[in-house]
Amino acid sequence: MILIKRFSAVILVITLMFTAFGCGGKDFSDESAMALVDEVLESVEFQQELTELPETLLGSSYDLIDGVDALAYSAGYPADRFAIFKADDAKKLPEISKMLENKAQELIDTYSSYDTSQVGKLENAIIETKGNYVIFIVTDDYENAKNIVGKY
Amino acid sequence: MSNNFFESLFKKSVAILLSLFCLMGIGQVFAEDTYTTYKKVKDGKITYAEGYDYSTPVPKNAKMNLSYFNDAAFIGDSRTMDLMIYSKVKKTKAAAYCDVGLNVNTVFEKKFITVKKKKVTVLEALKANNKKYSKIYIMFGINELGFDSVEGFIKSYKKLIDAVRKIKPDALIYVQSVLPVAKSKDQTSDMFTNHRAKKYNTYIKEMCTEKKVFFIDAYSAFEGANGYLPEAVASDGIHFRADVCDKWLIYLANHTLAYKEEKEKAE
Repeated sequence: MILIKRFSAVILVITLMFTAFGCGGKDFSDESAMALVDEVLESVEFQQELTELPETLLGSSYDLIDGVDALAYSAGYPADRFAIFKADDAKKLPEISKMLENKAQELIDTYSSYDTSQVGKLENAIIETKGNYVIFIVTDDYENAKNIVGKY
Repeated sequence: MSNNFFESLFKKSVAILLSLFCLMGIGQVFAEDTYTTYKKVKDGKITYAEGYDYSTPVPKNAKMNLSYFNDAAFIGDSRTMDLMIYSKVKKTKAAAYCDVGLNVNTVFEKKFITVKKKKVTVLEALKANNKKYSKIYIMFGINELGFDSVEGFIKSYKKLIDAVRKIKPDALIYVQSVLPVAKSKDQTSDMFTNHRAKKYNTYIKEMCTEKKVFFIDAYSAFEGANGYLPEAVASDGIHFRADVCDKWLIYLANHTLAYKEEKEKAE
């Protein structure tokens, strides 16, 4: 499993390096992104094991934006999730953040009438910009997740 | 006398048993053949074989390869979403039209799928997709167990089947029964009970007969010895654990029609 996660992370970085030319924050490199993905998957507790979202569900889970690459993990039914987006242009970062804020609110609306135990973690959803990346994490272990993101 | 008599009796018994086995074998072949005749392509159009009993759940058949799901689409709620995310079906080209909390009413209204930068409903997305699906799996019911009327649920479900058939007329439609819930859920909820699930399944089965779509009795497949979904299968009593989703997929792969035709296609 760890091997698969690492492999996914390596693929992410390689893909992003080839597709997002001329970008990458000064403080948050592609290598940093790879390390962050690894650490979140290994150290943050999620209600159910996260698995990489297949392409067929990526479009219904997030609003895809042109020039933005995404790697997303989901826990299925629980609201827990982790996604990392890389923009080819820093101007797109606010749009990504806004999209994720809307996503969190949409999920709050859904779970409020369905399973209120999921709402708290959504209200504490982490949406953070690092370089040309935006990170999105929903977990009950959000303090730990926030600390990990803060390290990078 | 006795030795010859018993020897002769033994030989006759063996002969009778062998004949019986042969006949059973032939019966098996006939049974397989009946599975294959449900669909006939005539002048490019699909017709259904007369005499197929839609009130009977799809029988167990030879297991399909994973590639069987390449031209499948799945429509459903969070349970279907778990199947799409955690089972090996994610390695295929199967389409997923599912969302948490989706039901037979919201499926017509909720715009959550992005098509050409626009959020659309399941049916709009299905229509926009030019891909030709051979089979479409639909499963709803768990979120509707709290509906005031099961008749209202079925009315919307029928509307959905009509709409899906209109958009993808060539696809076989498989409707899965509502899966059972675990005892821990059943006994702490007024809504999520197996009593209600079974009631809904009776209506779903009748609907399948009326609409001539294939009924998959997934409920029975996951009903434990005590009549409940085993606790180990679902952490919250409803949603399958990641490792069980493959068993569900295998059940679907084992319960198909068009055995020979699909097998040839898969090879």
